[in-house]
Amino acid sequence: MTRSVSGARWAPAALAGPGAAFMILAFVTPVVILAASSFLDTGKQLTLAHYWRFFSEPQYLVTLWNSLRLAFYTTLVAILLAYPLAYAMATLGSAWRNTILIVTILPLTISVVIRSFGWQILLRNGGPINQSLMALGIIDEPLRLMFSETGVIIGLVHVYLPFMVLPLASAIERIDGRLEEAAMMLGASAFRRFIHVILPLSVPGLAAGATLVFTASISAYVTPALLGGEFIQVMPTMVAQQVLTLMDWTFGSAVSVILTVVSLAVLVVHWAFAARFTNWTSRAEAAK
Amino acid sequence: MPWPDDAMKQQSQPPADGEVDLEVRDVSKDYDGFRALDHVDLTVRKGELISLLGPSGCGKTTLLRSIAGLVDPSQGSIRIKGKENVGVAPHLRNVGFVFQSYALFPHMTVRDNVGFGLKMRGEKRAQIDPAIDRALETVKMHHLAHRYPGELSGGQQQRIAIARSLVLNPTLLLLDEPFAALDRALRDHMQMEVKALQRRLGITTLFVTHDQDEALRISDRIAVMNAGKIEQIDSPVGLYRNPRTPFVLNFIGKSNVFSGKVLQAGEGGATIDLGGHVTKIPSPANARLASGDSAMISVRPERIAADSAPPRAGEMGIPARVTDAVFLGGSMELHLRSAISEQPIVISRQSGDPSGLHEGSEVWLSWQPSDVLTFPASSSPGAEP
Repeated sequence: MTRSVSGARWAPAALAGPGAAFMILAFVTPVVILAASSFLDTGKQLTLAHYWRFFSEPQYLVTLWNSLRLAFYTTLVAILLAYPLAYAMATLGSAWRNTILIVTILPLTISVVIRSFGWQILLRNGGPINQSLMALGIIDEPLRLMFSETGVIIGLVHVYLPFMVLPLASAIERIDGRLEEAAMMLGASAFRRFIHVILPLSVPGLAAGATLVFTASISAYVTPALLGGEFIQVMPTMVAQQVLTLMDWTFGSAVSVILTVVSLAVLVVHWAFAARFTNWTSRAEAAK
Repeated sequence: MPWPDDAMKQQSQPPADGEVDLEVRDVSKDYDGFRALDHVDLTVRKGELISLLGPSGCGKTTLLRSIAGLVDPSQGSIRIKGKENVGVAPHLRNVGFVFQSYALFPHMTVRDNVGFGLKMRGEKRAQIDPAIDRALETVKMHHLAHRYPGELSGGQQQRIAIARSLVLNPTLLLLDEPFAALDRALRDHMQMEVKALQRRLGITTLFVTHDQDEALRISDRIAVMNAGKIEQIDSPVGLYRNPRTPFVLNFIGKSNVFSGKVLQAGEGGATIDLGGHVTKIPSPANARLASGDSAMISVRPERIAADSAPPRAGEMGIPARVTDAVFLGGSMELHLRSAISEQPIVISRQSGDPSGLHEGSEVWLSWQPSDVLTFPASSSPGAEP
């Protein structure tokens, strides 16, 4: 992709300047300041006290565990819901494709805050979901959906499902349809065709989607705050509480840094695996 | 110039006896008002190598996929070894299918690709391993067993795809445009290799192609397809010598087509006037002629003689002028202009032909009555291949 119009290399660099400067100022600077303040005590001396406090207090570790667990379940549910959608998008006609695309990404056009209030109405004890289930005789008393882990996971899946469906659909689309037919001719049932052909060959899309959904839902604030409330504390709500309510900037910074490190760790795992996946996909490309 | 009848005879007819492995009866397939297959009948005997030849959209791939079970025909019967297979799942038909793109699983090694069908059948490792070895041995690919498909050349991938089908001991081997993805030199080689393999294993094989040379090179019989129908099925020699329709005439080999008027027709043959020049023809098998009818006749390029001396009285000789001489290696093609045809007349000669014909030569054309193919004038020449 390197173009060699002689002497004109400064032009793209100059044009990239404002964007790069903006990203550095708006992203890198606060992160650096945040990271720095997490290592300072009130007397501006270097200290690990905030980290020590976090890791020695069971309540905070529960919060970290809550975040990891919610992000994990959200990712898992998103994968299970996204595969059929992505497969249908990739293999059915363009009418289906467009319908699913619209249904999937339309919620993105509505603010997460508004959607969360919508979920509050749907999920509350006297809400339509509980009423319907009770009317059908499936349950006797209302399920606790609001202010529970279930409610937060439902809300998070709704918000982040598109980030799973889209990369997955584009990965499945790239799989040669004849591979499935070949597997069928060789006696593979629909389930085994999925396990032996679609799943392994869509791993790059799966990994990309899972990384996006996991890192996004572990750092989500609005949905856990509005659907989980006081009942289920996660890392972002804890940061907000420390900084906004308790005015403890330095401890809040430390919690933020821990959250960022966890997200980065997931990314690193993804990159490590991505190298292997790329082998498969490049072989798949070469085989065409 | 007699036809080399005897030399070709053993190929010109299908084995008259022997088991029937595949029987397609009255199969049609409609797609939203488009008829892809139109009342197709086809009988294939054990050990035959049959090609389905035709232009794109003629239904040849639909027929192959119907036999495999990848397409459900709208009507008709497909019997494999006497057993009805319409409605039977593809993998229960005991049919091997090799895709045009080979469709090897890119994330599995050659071994795992070849063993996939056995694994799906639930065979034990102890049975699968030697079966894979035998299949790879058959296609001489044992040394590449641990490679991935992306690391193989096109010809190697094709061999693996064939081995992956053969390992399940299919009754029929179906190949969809098997050589289309290969470059020319490799294509010629793989055609001969596949034919040799087919002969050695004696496996009943159908393959789809749009390439007439390929069909002529390796088929026992060729089913020429057009607009969802099989126009004619015969040996390569049979199709070339006795095309039943103008479409087959044009699709198999080159030909010169002339139209004329019947002067006289009788038991022993007919005479036809081609714009002032008279040619005799034998009684055509597929056209009834009466004097005054229009007729369409055709003569193959290599059956036309070109003399630089004018004909003697009473002999045939149509004046023509050479407009182009095309060197083709072992042979050459002369293009000629003549009053009897608007299209250039094509004749072929061995390279180094001593007659010394060149651009601008004036010649007189003639042929034997037995080399003339006649079609009713109403039939159109059909699509160019």
